[in-house]
Amino acid sequence: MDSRQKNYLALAGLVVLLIGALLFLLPLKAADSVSWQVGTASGSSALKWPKAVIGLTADGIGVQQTAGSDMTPLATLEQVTGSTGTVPASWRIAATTESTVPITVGGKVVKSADLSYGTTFTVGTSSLSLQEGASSITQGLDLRGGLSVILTPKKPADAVAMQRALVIMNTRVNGLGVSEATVQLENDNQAILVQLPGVRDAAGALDVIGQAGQLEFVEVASLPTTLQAEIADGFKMPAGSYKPFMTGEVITTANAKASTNVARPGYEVSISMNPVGTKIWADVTTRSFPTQARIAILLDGTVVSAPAVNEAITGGDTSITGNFTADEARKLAMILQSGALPVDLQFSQTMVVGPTLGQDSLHQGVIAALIGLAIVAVYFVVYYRGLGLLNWAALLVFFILYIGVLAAMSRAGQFALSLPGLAGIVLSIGLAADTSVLIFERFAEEIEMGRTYRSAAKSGSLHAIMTSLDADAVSFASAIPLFIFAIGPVKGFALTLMIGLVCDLVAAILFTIPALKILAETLVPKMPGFFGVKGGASK
Amino acid sequence: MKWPHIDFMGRRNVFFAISAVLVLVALGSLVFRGLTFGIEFQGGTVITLTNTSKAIEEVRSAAAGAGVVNPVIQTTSRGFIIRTGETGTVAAEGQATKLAAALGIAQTDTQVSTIGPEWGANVTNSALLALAVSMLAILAYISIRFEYKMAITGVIALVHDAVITLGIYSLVGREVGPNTIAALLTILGYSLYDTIVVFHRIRENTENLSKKTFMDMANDSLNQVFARWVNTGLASVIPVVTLLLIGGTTLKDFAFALTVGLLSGAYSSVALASPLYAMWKEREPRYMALRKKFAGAK
Repeated sequence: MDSRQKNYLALAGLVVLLIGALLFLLPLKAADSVSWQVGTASGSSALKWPKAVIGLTADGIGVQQTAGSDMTPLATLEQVTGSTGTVPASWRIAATTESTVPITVGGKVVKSADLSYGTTFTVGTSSLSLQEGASSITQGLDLRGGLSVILTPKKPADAVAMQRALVIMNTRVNGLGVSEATVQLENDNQAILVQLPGVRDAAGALDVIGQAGQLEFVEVASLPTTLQAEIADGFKMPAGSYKPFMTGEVITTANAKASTNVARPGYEVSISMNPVGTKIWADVTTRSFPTQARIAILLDGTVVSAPAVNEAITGGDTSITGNFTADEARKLAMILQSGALPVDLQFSQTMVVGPTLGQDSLHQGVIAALIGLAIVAVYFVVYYRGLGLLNWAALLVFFILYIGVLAAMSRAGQFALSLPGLAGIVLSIGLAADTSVLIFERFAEEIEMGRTYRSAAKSGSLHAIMTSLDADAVSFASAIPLFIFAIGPVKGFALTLMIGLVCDLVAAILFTIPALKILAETLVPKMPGFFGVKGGASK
Repeated sequence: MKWPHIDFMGRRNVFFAISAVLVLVALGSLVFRGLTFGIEFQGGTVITLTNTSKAIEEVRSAAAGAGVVNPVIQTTSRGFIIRTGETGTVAAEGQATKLAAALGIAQTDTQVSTIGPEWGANVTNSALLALAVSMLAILAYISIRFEYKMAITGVIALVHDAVITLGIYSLVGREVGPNTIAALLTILGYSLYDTIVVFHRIRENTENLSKKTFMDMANDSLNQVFARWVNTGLASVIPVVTLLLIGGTTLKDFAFALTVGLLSGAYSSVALASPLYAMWKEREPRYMALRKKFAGAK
């Protein structure tokens, strides 16, 4: 194969790569969706412009693009018109007039309300939550808004305990119904990072995440008399003042449901117990009910409920009634279901980012980068003329490859763009421009030394790529330790830099160099002035 | 396209003097004024409010009303940044919510970050460790691919850039946050890249060196890569300067460090790393012989 064929082969290879990159870049935005939970059943459905209908079906709740004949419409969910590309679109829920099933958002009954991504609303006893469609490049929390929490143990904990805490935390976070939530161990198993992108109710989420979740059952009669009188909902027990006969470890399932108790309306949490718990519970209730003795149920030392025992409960099922709202009952059920945390955790870092704030930074950054690039592009064309145009093409190729790789990694859930990551991209674009500059300078230089255009293109690009290779490799070598050892934002920077360096070399080898070689044989000899080189073969 | 004929090496003492003054001023400021570290390094809370046109006095009294203790309030182009020593997450979140409500600012335009003191130390240590290992990786790579004298002079230039950038931070009292660290790393990457390009050319020219002194050859090498140096320098500085001029608050801090560092990095590869390396090489017997033969024949 002669060198000319190799040039075209390289370009053909590049076209394949570019098509691959474009496949990951398109579609730029997937549809938004709503996921719902009815009892234990759950599902999700895409929401497409302009609206979707929520209604009652034979199975419970359903979401359809248009109301089907088998469905009683309750509400419509529509994208707020006028929302532009600069602000994340929000949705509006509108209950139909004949709807008799209450629709609540954050515990409040509404006829209509604006909803943002991550909002969970309830229709009757079903909960539905809105999720943002995946864009081609996942945005990190600092850009799209949300809650990021790092929890560390108060005393150093062993890896096994932290693993268990991680599993429990995962269960709780899943219960919050936030799409793309992540929970992971960091910093040598001594920290748990919880990220809840797009979450609206940060305070509520913090409650669920931070709760130790230790449930205790205490016979009120076993307490000192002075303390007995104090027992009421919300009373905080003095530490060490009581001895529980049973703890939350015996709980197998916990569910929130509307209260059937007329005296305590609202919501309650029904729990089931394992055989050990069932036995203890049967014994205690059997000996308590003749005197209608009270049992205090404590969560992390605070009285949640202190009912009098009205009957012996031998089946292990019972319910905790505590004047809960639907939301509170759901949170408590979630905490009880996941179990108590095996380690005492504290918040080491919390970050709540409003969605518009991050988007503003992103747009300002993108606009600034574009203006900067435009100035550079004009400068290059003035300075390098024809080769400046080639430089544009090279940067475009580089950029498509680069963003394509980032989009592919986003799709695999391995990448989320953060502000420092954006800085890594800006740096990489600079380095990619430099690679072209190195090649062109060397090309012009070799012509100056008296080589023909063809041999100048060949030897010039070889020398230049060797320089780029070394410079890229050193930068890569310095980015690896950053990626491995640093925690937090610096990691994102190192990752985008490393990917950028690789894309730079691929674009140079498959595009800039073959294109220069082909031009050196075809267009450059015909119009050397346009390419800013004179002489060459004539010398 | 002709190479320029600038006598870089002949002016090396001027360059060294400039660098020495800059480094001394930077070190002096670092010692006497110190650095303002962000909450990420020492723990605390930052509340960011945007989309508000309230006066700073209103924010101050609202902050007091919301129970914020000893707030440091800074105005930005579109709102305020409020820093406090609060390390309790729930307390900080509550204060921010009250504050936003009192000022009539939407929850979506608010950002609250709280960091515990131990975690801050953790972040600092991990960043320092990463930086140290990163430097070792650079030294190892250049020593193996080129030679150790290039590695050491190259790293001297990097340290020079890092000290000057941090010194500027100390002088203008800007806060050092995680983004500063990322910026510092970017600068070191750029400076290194520049230095490698020059060293590459010097090494290439060393192969056929027989008709002039090492110093003159190194000077020619600098002139040969001068056009690339200017063009790449401009291509990298221009986007960063636009970021500095029109970027948001977060990006501005980042762009500020980058602008200072890029200029310092471009300067140090030509004015510091290359002359130091050439001076060191001139002491080798081979090049001392060349010096005897061609000295003064410039």
